[in-house]
Amino acid sequence: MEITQERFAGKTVIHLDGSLDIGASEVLEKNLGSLIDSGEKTLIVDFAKLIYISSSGLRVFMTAANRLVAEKGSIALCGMNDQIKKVFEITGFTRIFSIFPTLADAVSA
Amino acid sequence: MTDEKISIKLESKVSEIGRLSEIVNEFGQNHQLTDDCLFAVNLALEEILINVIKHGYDNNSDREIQVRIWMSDDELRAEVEDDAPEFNPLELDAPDITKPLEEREIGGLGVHLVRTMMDRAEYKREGQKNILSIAKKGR
Repeated sequence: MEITQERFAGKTVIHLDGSLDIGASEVLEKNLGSLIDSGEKTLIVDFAKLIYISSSGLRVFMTAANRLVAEKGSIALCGMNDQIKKVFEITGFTRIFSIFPTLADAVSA
Repeated sequence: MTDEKISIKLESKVSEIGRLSEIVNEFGQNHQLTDDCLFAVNLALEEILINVIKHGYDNNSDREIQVRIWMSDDELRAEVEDDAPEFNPLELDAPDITKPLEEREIGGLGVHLVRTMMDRAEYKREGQKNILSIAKKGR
């Protein structure tokens, strides 16, 4: 999986491209962890090119969200395909995350 | 129709999960399986393998896991076999998915996904082996 980062409309956006399996989850966890360590409080994660996620990927977002909430920050997710959305629904993660259809929706929220 | 059964021997390390996924995807292309089926089966296999590696084998990387995949009519079937101590992950309690973020536990989500996304998931103990079987309509 490729992880790229950009500033978009004054917010930090992380783009994920590929499969978020357990190996990729370890890399992403470090990546998000260092962003939060460096003081980032508002993160948007763009799933538009993500084709797969497992529970190890879900755990990464839960860890990041817990840290951000503790620091009065937030994390928003956007651009999920139907299969990934279903994984979030089955695990009840749609209740605990702000999920937007597109990046533009997430940025303007 | 039941045709060839593919048998894959994996080492007990998480880096093997990507290799298995490539084999499953190629099998899926050869049998015209839907993306939904392949997504769900890859997910179920990853969750089952992680359980075996982390809990069954206690992260020992020199053990073996045998995976078999085959078609039965329009259904994709797979079996994961290990020789860890007897353990049926399907008996784990379902996680409470209604809890708020700060009270959520990540444990149990993988097995919950397997149970929910597969059409069938069954466990059996045969001799010294745990065998977890899954099935998903493929086309």
